[in-house]
Amino acid sequence: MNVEQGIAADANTERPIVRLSGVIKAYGRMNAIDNVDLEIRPRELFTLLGPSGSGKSTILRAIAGLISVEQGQILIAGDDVRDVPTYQRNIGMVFQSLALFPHMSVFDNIAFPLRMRRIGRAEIAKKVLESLDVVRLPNIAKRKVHELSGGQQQRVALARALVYNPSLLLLDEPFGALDKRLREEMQLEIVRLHREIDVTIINVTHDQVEAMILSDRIGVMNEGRVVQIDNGEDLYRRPKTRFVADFLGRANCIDGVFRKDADGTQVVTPGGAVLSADSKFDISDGAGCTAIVRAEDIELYAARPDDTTLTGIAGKVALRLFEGETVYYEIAVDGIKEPLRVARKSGEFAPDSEVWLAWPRARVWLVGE
Amino acid sequence: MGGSDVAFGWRIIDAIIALGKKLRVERLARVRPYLMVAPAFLLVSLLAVGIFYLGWLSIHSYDSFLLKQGPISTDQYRRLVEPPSGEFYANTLWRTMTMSLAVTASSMLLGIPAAYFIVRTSSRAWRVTVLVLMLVPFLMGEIVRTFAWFLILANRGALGWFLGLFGIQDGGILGTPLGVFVGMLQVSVPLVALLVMPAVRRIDPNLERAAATLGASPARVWRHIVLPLAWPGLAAAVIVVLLLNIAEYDMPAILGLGRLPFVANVIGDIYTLQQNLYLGSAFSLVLLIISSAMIMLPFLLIRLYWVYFIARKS
Repeated sequence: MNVEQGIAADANTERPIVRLSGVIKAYGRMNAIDNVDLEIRPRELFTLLGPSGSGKSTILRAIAGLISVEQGQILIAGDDVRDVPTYQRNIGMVFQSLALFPHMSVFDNIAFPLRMRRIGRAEIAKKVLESLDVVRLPNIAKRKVHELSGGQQQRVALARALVYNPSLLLLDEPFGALDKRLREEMQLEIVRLHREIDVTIINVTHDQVEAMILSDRIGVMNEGRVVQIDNGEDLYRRPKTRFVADFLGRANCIDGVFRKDADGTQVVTPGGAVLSADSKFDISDGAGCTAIVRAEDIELYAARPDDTTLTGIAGKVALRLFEGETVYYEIAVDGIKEPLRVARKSGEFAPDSEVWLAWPRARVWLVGE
Repeated sequence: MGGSDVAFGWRIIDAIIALGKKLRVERLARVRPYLMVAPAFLLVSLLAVGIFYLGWLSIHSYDSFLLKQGPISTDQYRRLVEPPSGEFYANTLWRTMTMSLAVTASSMLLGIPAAYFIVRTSSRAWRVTVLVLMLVPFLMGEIVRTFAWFLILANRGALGWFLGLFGIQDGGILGTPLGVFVGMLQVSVPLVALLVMPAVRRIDPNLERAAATLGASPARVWRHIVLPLAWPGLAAAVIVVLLLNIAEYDMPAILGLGRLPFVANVIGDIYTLQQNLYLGSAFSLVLLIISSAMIMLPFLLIRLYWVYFIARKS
């Protein structure tokens, strides 16, 4: 669904619309955001992804000017915005609580930013109705906010943040509180709007599926730092740290020591299990590293298959859970502390049965310490 | 006689049982909510009876020499408006109303930002400090507080001494309208803050942040978001503070040195010094009616504005 990737790649050469360099925000002794460097390209849909408390919303608020930062510089369209108050930054923002004004009608909510800009009455009426059309909600202008359904409120909040054509739209987990179906509907709505309107979007979420679906690029955050910025596929297949691998999807992170010799490239766990990998990784011999194998890349066999592209290890089924689309196994392996997690389409192995776990060698990803 | 007596007794019991069945005792449960409001109702109705009694007294003439109630007449009300004393009463009423309005307006100006600060500040230490600073003088008892102000505002008090440092002699404001104003303000501001705080607390701070991102300067955030949403609290604060100020007694008596009596002081004098219940009742009723009108008029105007402008427009 990342149809914008081509455009975003072209935009690479343009100067970034938002640039953070060395930004630090402290709450007490803790750094909520810790020395963050970030560049957002024009027209892209960028997602900050991370567990709660990782500082992603704080970055958004710093860009919007709702909080001040202790150190570092924030540039919007090339200008340092340190002394520019929020109301002069011309940014659209949708809050998690939506923050629709309860004492105003839908029309007045959407007209609010236009009135703040002292736009004429007729022009306001025209623009409000246009923006209601854009979010596909005609004929509700006169209603009160509390008379709307959750999904309608989302769209009104979007319309209000877009009606004055801001060049930057910030989404602070606005879909977090919606049920699954409505959330997916709104995500598609965002993709559609992004395609139709000339706007750069920075989205914040802890939902990795949402991040993957929506984004041209994703910045993964942990403990106030941006640990990796890439498109979804690269993050998933080529994580730079153990945290990123662990946070996205179901990954087996197996810690061990890197060994490169005549037998090939291997990771040896403290318990003595040996996992072989491709030789492309640039890790010094004897250094600690983590081998990452995705749960869905592991195939289960009753006996070791005769295929040289596959590598694997013997184990014993500890847990089998039927999940619908997949069957989830946890498999105990000698020499590896945590049981390996496996997701298969079929579930022919019962608990306590001996199995052979096999996976393509190319799908083993190594991360140095 | 004996026989028929027994039959009569039984018949009474039968009647009571029949009555009980007809009334259905279990239906008493439905009366419980009414029983719960009964004490408040009794209290209020006692007050109503008192007011009716005042009204009854006020429409009689009174012979202050013979201390005798005369016939029904408009004597008392005429004394309130006609010479020689009418001007004094009118001045008192005017002073009471203007001072009360001025104090109420000023205390809203000072109290609303204070309430906002207490609710919104992220620093617990600041919140507690401001709350304590406001509440301690507020809770320490009216007479003690008033005399504390007396000591501050007198010519040789703290204020006079302080102004004396800059060469201003006799800078005390005791016995002046300003002195009374300051004293009343100090009671009203914490009251406004306390009444407005819950209303501000109900406002989601994200609404203000959203308004800012949408282009509203801080002043316009107040004008379009904070004030309209805090409106019920503001109305309550205006009503309570205005009523308390209109009925103010000790500030004019003590800080005004009796030179600037309010209606309450004058009524007190009529009752205690002149011992004229009839004139006092009339003046009390006038105050009651005028202050009630002052409270209700704004609401009436707002309602009219709604009916004639807003409703018609949409």
